[in-house]
Amino acid sequence: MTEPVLQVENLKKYFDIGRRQVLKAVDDVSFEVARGEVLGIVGESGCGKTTLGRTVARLYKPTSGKIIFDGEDITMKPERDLLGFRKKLQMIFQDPYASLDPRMTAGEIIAEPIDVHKLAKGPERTERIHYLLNLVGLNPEHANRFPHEFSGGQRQRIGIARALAVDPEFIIADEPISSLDVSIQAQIVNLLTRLQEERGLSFMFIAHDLSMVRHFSHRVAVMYLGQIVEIAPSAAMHASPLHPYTKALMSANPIPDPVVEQSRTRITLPGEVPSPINPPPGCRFAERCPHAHDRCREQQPALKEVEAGHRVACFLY
Amino acid sequence: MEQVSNNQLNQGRELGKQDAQPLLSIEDLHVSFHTYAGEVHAVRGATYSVEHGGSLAVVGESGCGKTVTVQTVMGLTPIPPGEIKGGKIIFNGQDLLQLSEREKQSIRGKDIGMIFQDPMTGLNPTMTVGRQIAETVERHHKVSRNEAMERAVEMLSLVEIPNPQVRARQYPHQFSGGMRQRAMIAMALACEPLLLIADEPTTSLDVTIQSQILDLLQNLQERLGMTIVLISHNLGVVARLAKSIVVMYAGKVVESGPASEIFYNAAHPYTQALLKSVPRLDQEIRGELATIPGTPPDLFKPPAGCAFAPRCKYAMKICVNCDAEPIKVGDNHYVSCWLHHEASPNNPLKNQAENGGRTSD
Repeated sequence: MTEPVLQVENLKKYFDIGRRQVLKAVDDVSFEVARGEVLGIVGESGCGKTTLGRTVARLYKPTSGKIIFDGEDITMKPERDLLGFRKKLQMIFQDPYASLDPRMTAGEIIAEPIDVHKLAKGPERTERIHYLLNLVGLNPEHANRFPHEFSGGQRQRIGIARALAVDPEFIIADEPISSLDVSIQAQIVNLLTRLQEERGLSFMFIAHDLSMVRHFSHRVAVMYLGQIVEIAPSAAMHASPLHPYTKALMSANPIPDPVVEQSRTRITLPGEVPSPINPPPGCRFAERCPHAHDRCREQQPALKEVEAGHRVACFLY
Repeated sequence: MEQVSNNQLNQGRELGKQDAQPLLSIEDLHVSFHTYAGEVHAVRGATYSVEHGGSLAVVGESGCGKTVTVQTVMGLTPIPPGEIKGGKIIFNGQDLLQLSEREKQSIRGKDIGMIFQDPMTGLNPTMTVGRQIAETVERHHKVSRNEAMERAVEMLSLVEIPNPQVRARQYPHQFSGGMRQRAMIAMALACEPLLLIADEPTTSLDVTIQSQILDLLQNLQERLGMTIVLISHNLGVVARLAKSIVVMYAGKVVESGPASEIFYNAAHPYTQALLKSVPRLDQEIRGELATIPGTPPDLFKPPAGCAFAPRCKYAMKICVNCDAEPIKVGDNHYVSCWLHHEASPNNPLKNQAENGGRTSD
């Protein structure tokens, strides 16, 4: 693996929700992303994957820990000094309806980051907008249209063009396809794959759909209740998942093949994800884990390397 | 495939329904909505049926008319702006479209139950969950308030909600997403309906909770011998639950047949493309995912021919001008596609189904 472009160490993001209660959305998370690598982050709602992405992008202020991007510690950098960082790291958001200003045309939306970072002016600016629209599979004529004139998939393309406008090195894509129809999802994933390969982009790809993550990511991290419980190369994660939660998550994911789907054995987890307010003291998964024993309820397992590049936080290993 | 239809027959017999008539049959249904921008032809001649004890999945992308069709079955399509422009909905021998509102009310909730995608909008936030379920029971059966409440608690335990006595007295906001969906299933089943319509029942849920709800639906169907119509865009969910499948596109049924036929022997180019565009967790796909270029047509001005023709790589002249009638391509397997017509010069799909289609191994 080459040098990491992003290093995250013991990152925590807590939200004070009043009445002296603290919601531990991201609780002691460490990982790194190599240059040109796609790291998939999977987990169910409330596991902290979106908060993690937004904290790394410095849309939230970290509670503690370290974020080192391109060799520079940006954890506590004041907002006014983040412009250089923002040019290198961009985000694609989940909801293509909420993340585009309805009063701006597609061209204006894409031009905004170009203007903020003073990258181009006049005819060069227009040319760049048209180039970006082409790049994501839209036409230059689309520049004068407003978001409501586009379909969901087209809007997501505008969001991608906006992220690419500053020619970033790193993209955090937060559920970029989950609000789209199946056939459109494949189009967007193909577009992202092409752009990633052509431009050597690094990605944090946040999603709950394991099969899409498997397809797009080099490595995958599984989150549960604010923590990474397992992280491994994509192929290893799918061939031999180790953490009981990962196993359950994969077995719950239905496979579009009736013979396979109706004959396979499933691990059905009892109960639901507990609240991230006052999470249980030991392993956060212990309550629902079929293998839990006393130690799991008292101590927190640390991420441990079991095979090369395959780390899991579980006392079973 | 033969096995599938036998199963359905057997289940039908167990219910004491000897007749071969399907429980629900939708015939050439047309539904439009009048909006400020013009008339949207949401459903343009949908035809499908489900037998007693069967489980049918209706598959398609957003806007294909799958939800509008079942809402019309339930009599939930708002009129106006909606307009039922033609067709029949035969349920248990009666045409639901010919009934008065009062007659419909006696069927809705009693003989047909429905669960919705979003359990928060399907439940009344100002009433306790138990009361809402009891209300349905009181509406259709001569029971006292207490008896109805007892039935509600019984239903909550049937859908495996822990502490049903306590839960019955709580409000929907005190329930989690998965629990709300269970409560909605309890409500839909309270009067032991013959038919359960589940419109994207697990779309808003996480995968592990989705798995729990699917287990529950499967169990309930086996135990109560219910007929299920499942609306879903998730082919994995469909593979798990459905015995037969209807594929809708732009307000029409383009293909229908037993689940095994649709998954392993898909005949319509749209169905094939749909199946190929989803990656599978148990298989590695190298390179690009298969996609369907373009977007579905605008239903303000529905096309004269096959609605899929502009996106279809096999489209012929006739496809653009004239829509195909359903053609039989297998046992109970019908497809509306000119490529399968006997006069079609060549059928590139046949070879493709053999090589490129999914196999069961």
